Amino acid sequence: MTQNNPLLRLEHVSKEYGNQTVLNDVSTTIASGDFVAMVGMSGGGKSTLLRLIAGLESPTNGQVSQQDRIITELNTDSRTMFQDDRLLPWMTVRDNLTFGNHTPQSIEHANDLLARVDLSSFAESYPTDLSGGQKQRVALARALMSHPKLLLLDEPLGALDAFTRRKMQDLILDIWRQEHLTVILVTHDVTEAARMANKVFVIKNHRLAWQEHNALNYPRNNSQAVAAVADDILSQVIA
Amino acid sequence: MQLSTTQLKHQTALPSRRRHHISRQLIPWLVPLMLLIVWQITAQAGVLSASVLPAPTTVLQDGIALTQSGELPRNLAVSLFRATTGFAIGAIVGFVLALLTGLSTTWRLALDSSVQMVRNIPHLSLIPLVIIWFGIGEPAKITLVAIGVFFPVYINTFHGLASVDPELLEMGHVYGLTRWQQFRQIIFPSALPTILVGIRYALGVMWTTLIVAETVSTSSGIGYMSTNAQDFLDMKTILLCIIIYALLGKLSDTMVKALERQLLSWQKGNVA
Repeated sequence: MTQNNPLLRLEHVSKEYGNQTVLNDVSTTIASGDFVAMVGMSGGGKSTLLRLIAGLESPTNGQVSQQDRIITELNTDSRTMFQDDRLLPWMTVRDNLTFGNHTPQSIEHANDLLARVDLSSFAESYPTDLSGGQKQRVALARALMSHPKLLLLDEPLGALDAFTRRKMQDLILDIWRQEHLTVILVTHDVTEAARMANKVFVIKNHRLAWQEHNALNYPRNNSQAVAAVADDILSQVIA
Repeated sequence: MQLSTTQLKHQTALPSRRRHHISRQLIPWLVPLMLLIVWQITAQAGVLSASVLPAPTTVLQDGIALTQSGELPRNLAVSLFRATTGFAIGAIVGFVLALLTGLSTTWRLALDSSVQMVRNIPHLSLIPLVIIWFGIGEPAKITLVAIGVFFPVYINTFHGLASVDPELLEMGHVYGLTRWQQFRQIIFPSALPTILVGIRYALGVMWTTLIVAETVSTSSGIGYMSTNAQDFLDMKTILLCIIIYALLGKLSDTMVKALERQLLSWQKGNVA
């Protein structure tokens, strides 16, 4: 599953903390426009892999490169959305997008993104007035402010209820399609992976144990087929 | 014209909310008012001798007389000058030092443990030392107030800066904020509630220190008025000075609370 000109290339990537190996010899490629879901049990190294791609940590061995540029520091072409929203509670929703940069272009772009996540009427509100799902929509809009090529989602829907979660999945998929983004989603939810991603990675025992294309991710209207793929992924995770 | 239930509820809710707001403003004054009434009645009934506890009206008359003679405004101005100057010096030094130790590991290692060690010394025990160093003039009193104010401002500012959520800092890093932006957008707003707690506490220390400082070898200020009145067994002026201190303390506390409401309005949410 290698491509001639991938967006991301991971070559023999390992990560150790002291004597503990968190990732062991991971090699793969991710093409521009892919929606990759990384699934696996807790502590398997999924989030660490995401942090290496974001440039928040450096691999102990091997290298991660984006468009032939080896990532040794913060990957500025990517934006990360975390499990918790990490909004600044002292800033209004709009200021959380602009970080207090009040140029007309910045405000206009923030307003456009808030409209896309259906939160225009909350632009002047503080995060404390928002529900969990609304906060994550703001976090998604914030992640899109700098037009990133790569969107890294570190279990951002994990704390949401089933209904809000489904709506957020659809929103992320719509944005992925419209913006031609490359998305990497870390999730524990195999159904979410089957429903959203066109490529699924299973991280097991600190290795990339399985990777497979998934043709079902869009228009995602065949729940039986999604369930079958989810079952397939699950069997790989727990095998 | 008939009103809908919602309209009716809305119309009745407004005066009710206003009444609620007014009563919330008045309730804190009930206890002091009751005490004043009891005090006045007790004094008038002769239960307590005027030489032990003169009536509030007598204290008020004394206050008016001292204001008209210019003695009270002059001494009040001197006390306010000492308090504000000492506070400004102590708070600025405390804040700047806390910025250094809170934001830089090197400064923290070099200074913080020394400051934490010195803070355990009661600052009023330094009075003899301060008098020897600075004499009995204004610098000694201002220095004492500044030392008293320094520690609560330093400790709370340092604690606020050192306790910023690392996940927010990581978010700032991921979103490409510069160090200055990180400080301005994340670190300082995050530390602000704790800093304001320090300022509030420091204001209390400021008045306490001033009272003590003004009773030691001085010829002006509210503390001097009180000590002077004690020499003449002038209970009404002693009580007047105590009430002035209480009112000044309340005034400074109210000012910081108003500042907190203004700067920390985001904690209550609502639209900006």
